[in-house]
Amino acid sequence: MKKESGAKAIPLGLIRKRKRLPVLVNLTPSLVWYVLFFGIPVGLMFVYSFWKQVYVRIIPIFTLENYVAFFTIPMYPLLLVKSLMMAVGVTLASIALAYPAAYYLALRIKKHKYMLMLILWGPFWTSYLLIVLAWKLILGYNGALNSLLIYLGLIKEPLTALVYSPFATILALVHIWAPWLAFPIFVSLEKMDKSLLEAAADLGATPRQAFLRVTLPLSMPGVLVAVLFVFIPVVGEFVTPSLIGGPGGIMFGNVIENLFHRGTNWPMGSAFSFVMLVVVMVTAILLIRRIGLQALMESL
Amino acid sequence: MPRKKFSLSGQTLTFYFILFSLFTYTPLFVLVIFSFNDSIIMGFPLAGFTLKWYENFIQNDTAISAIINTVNVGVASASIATIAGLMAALALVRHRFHGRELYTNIMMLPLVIPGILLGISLLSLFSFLGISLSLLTVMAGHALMGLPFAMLVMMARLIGFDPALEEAAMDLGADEIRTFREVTLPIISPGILVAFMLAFSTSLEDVAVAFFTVGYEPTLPIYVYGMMRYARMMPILTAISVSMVLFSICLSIAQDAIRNR
Repeated sequence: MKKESGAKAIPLGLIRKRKRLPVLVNLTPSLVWYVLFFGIPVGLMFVYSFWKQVYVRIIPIFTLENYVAFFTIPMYPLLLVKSLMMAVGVTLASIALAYPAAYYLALRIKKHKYMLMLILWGPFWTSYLLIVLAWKLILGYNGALNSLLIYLGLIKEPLTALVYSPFATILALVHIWAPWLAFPIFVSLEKMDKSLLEAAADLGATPRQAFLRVTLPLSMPGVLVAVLFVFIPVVGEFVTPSLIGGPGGIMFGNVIENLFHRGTNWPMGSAFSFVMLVVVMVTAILLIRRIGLQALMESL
Repeated sequence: MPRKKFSLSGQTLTFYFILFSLFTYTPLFVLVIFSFNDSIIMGFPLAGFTLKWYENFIQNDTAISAIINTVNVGVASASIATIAGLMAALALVRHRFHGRELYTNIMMLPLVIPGILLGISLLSLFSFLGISLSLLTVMAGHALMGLPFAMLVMMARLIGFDPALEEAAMDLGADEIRTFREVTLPIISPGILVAFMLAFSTSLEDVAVAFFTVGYEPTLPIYVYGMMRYARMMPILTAISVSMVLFSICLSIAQDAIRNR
């Protein structure tokens, strides 16, 4: 940009002046939408969190009791911690599953690698609800897996611990996210300068050393993008656990959903949402700082 | 565990890749198989081939209107997201102004906030203002969710765009509108389509935001979510699922074709 302005200083200067208004005009739609449907709602949620509800009426009196409730009733922080741990588990398991597949596609395959990536990505385009539905069918008491095992004579009674458990929730979530994760990891591996690996080999590195010192660090941006887009939605999950998690699979999102959807206590739900929001935002800011916006754009 | 892989041959990786693909696709196979299975019980042994679940699905008015609702909401929200996203991207990529980086970062926020929080905050707003929930309120939320995606895609496109082309057009006497229509638009139109489809599929997939902002008319995911509690609805749901999968695959193939052009 600066280089050019030396050669054509006058026209560029003119254009720039003419374009000051368009900047404002161009930003207006997104700004209006964000203020109306994002800024104000989140602000309202924050305000609600300091009010209280008596029966069905929300009373606008400042109180801290919703936050006090969160920190003094052990069940709530424990559920948040449980949700965070499930999200960490899902993220790590998904990366562990997706990384070798992405590595294989990016570094071992010569032809049709984008086609293969697209095929691998296919299930992500199916609404994630359908994946949950499929797992419900597979893991159910009279479901596909149990009936198949009985049909084959491997078991006599259906296994009961399959569906309606935290395990089912984690399995479905890993299945939803692992194929998707393969993509950003694939992109960062694909961008890597392959001659670096040859250089490492020439300098006497074993394949394992080359992987740990060259490939893995260079693919970290992809892995971090993956963390960002898996960890955060999973922390806020309430749909998957409500369908296949059973009583033991309840997550923090289910508590919030309950406080809101049955209309039982919006201010308390707002306070809990705000606690979740803070946790998520801190994670996101730390991650985005590490990744940079550029990598984020390239991963889409 | 991952360490071992490197002393292993390429064949092990190939084998792993096949296993991973199988894992990815197994649930879809299951849905396809049971959608053609002539029994209300979703188990083995299979009962025989039937198309009746697809017939039931097509004759189910609620499901069909849910699909129409979903498409309407998707098209409307994706259009808003794409237009607003394109305009924002134009300002952010082409101009250096104070607060540019901050604005970009703020625009990214809905990407990194769980859907449940977006849904709840929108519900709070609508109930505070006394606006009754409908497909319009869903659409407002979906446009918000699609906007950052659309903007990121457009920014990526515009960064690779040589502004000299526009300057040349203006030097040759074209005004700004004509330059935009005849130079800029043709170059960025694949990006616009990708942005639209990305925003559309965000809307198509969403359960969390719609769950809190939907009124009496459901979108398809909300309908499916509600019906998943009833065992007798399962076979029809598999038929709906398989149809949706086919539709999504077409959408993603189209998007990839455009992206590579």
